[in-house]
Amino acid sequence: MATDAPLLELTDVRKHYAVSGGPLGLKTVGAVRAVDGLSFSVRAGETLSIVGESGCGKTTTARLILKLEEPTAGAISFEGRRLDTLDAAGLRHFRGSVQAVFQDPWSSLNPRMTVGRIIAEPMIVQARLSRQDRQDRVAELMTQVGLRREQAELYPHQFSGGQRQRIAIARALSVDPKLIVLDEPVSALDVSIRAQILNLLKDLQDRLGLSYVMIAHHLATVRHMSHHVAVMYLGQLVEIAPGRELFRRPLHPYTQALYSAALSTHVGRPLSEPALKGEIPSPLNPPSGCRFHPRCPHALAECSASEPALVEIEPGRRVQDCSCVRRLISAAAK
Amino acid sequence: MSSAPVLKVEGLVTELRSGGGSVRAVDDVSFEINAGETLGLVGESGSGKSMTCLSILRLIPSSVGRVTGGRVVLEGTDLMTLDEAQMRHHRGRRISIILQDPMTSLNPVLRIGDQVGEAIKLYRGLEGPALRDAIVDGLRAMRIPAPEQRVSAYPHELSGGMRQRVGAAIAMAGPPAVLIADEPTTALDATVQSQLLALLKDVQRETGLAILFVTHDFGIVATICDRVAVMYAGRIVELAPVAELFANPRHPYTEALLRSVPDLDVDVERLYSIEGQPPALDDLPAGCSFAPRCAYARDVCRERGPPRIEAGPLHHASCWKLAGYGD
Amino acid sequence: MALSKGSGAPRLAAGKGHPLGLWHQLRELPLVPMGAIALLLVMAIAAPLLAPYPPTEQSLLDRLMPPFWIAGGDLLHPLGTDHYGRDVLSRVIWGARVSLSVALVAIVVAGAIGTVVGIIAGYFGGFIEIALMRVADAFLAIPAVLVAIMLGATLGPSFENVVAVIGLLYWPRYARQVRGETLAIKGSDYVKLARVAGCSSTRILATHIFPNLVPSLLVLASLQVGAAIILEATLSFLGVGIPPPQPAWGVIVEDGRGMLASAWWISLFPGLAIAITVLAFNLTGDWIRDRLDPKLRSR
Repeated sequence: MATDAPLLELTDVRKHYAVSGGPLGLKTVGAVRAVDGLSFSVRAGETLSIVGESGCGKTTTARLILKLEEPTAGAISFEGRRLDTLDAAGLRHFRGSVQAVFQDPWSSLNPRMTVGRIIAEPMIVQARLSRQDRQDRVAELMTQVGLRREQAELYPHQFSGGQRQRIAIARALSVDPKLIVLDEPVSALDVSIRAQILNLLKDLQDRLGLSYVMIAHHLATVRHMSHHVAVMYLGQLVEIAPGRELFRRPLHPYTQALYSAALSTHVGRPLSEPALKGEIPSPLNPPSGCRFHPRCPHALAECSASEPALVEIEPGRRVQDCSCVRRLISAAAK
Repeated sequence: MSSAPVLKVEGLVTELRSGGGSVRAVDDVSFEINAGETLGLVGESGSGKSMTCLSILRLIPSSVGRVTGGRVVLEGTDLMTLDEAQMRHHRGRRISIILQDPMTSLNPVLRIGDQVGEAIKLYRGLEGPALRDAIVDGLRAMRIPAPEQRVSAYPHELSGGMRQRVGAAIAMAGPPAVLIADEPTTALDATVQSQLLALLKDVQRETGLAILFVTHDFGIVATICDRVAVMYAGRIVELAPVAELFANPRHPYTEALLRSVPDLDVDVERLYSIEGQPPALDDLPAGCSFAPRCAYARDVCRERGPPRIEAGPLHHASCWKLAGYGD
Repeated sequence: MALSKGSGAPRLAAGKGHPLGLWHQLRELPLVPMGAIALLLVMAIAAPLLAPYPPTEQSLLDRLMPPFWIAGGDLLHPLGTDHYGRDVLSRVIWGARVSLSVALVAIVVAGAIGTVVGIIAGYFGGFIEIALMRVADAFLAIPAVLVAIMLGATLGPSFENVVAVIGLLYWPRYARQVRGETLAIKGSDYVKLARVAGCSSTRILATHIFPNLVPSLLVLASLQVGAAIILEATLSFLGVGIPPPQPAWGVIVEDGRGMLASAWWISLFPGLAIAITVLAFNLTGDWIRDRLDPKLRSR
């Protein structure tokens, strides 16, 4: 299903937020580097997941891809066209091609709109269909995500969390998008509901050839859902690889730490406290050199000196070329 | 590890006000925890696991509901028979709690040293330099770096993980025999979560603390619990040693839940999914609450509540299927 | 509170009525204050039918009659008469019409200005927001009665001027509240998703932001009606509000001011009417606010 031309491509994307200070709050005293030099691409029919802990920039990345914010530098292209130079028609096409499903099904649906209107809104804005066609399409979408068409007249508060997430998915699908950004799509749901939604998302991907960019923290879910996984730390990509490869053999020390912190549902796997020192530093003044070096259990003296670049070590697999990573790889090869 | 349970809950029932009537948020819940043991209490939102914790501590506001039955025996004393003054003497000192949100469980305008100190002073009656030393020791015991400096920090100056450690230091001030941990790691990042779990295990090893760990995450259960109670719609549907529960779940709900969670090391093409959703407490189905979602349900399940079946040593489950559907 | 958190909250059937639900809801209604408001509205609307006399009809023979239960009083003038022989009951009933209409119109004016300013400030932000909010702050810092007197004195007493004064003094409260809520709603996921769907700002404001502001606007308005009535009464009492002989409640209180010791009924009854009205609107507003507060309501 995947073709070679990327559907979505990020090239050295940066997003810095000015931090004001001074007695009147008028002086710019620094910048939070929420996203700092991000490059990756997503192909049609594929799921790329972004993992990382709070402050790593994954949510900002999602907002940039959705064009809810503009990057400070770098380029984001969708179907080969740069988002910052789109004309009105191009923007309309983009809005009809990229949709989103957010984490909290309680805040992502307008409480004063009926479910039918919520689902139809993107179609109304894109002005693609007549009223009758739109209603038919809403009914079709509701059936597709496992709701009953009579429920279109109800309001969101009359639904449970899992059903609300189905409504959000139906809305996202209404304009036949090519890419859906999924920001923690199941983490606010009950455990017994999560599998329903994950299965639905996978079925829709198979049937409609959708691409997903998924933000998630639960590694087992990420492994189950993703073709590629990108690991972010303090605004940068530390490693990106095909999902199974990444989990079979995590290369970067931070990926290893995340992996060892993920709790398996196998009894008897010992609790391995990650050998990380301290906690995530502020993105306001990120550490010099490799941003992970102050916490890295394998850090060498040279790690604080130069900022490592991402290098491709296998097809589809890139990792930050830090001295310690090279040492780990060669040690593993022996 | 002594053999007598430090905490024994028997037939606990908690009713909450709802509209004009009341609903049973906790329905005939019984379990025991031994010293040095961790019992996991697993369930979805609204299953009654947090209400069980609050009921044990007698912290349910009368405007919300009340405990209407059962006994909670802590080290030989039935907490339900105490008056409020006596209860206050036990609460915090012998049984304490850490909550989910490290942001709201600390007072934002007090220095953390004062908050830890308040608890130590109250429970252990220390004053002056002895109190100061005890505060620093308490923070150090929770592996808070540079505790001498941190005592004068305010909660907002600490990270989420550090705040949760301060919460643990307050909870351990008694020191208690039983610690209730109500999803203490849910708001934390994965690496911070495993640090905190490792800390709790170490503290338990050193002090023989009994822990009731409330969670919805089977990863946590598999990693730190000795035994597990699974709650559904206010009831414990299955209780078993952790290895036994994962290897041999007997209740259909437990079995389905375990199969529906993706695993880090195993590939499946498609997750097993439980249809429907948990029932509302004011609209419980007749018979077994799980029957409408259960793949094995028969008529009897929809008519009468299921019997409790001993499925093995220390293992029981409430299900008609295990009882041969009453034949 | 741990109890208000999602994990601890009991799951209750959404949208399904308890068997006792309707009765329960009816019982929770603030029947007394709502009844009082209904009565006031009836008085205001049907004043010509209800009042036994025209409000300005003088009858010098019946001057200063006390209420009927006091010696010298009589049921023809149940609440007595004033020093021109005007029927106090009739004047209080007509006063409801004048005072309520002033207050309601003024609140609509204040609400409209405040909502527009608040939405613009909250949604567009930046310099516009700073400028508008500083203006609102400046208005809030003004001692209301003082300015009202100055304005009233300059503009002269009239219905329109009272409305204008109250509107000018009260819009900043709406602006501040609306701005705050607009900011919150603008940050909500459904507004982000509306932008993802390609909605224009106009559409977002009209379909996503404004409808979600309405409930709290109603609360604020009902709480402010009381304040507006008091301000109007104050202005009228001071002679810069509704011009006599129109029977605004404040005007009637002022009429009896000189005779509080001998003919207390002239001022007492309109004063009571003001107190009851303010209390009724405040209680109703409190109730609406509680009903809309998600923390006090099961999901």
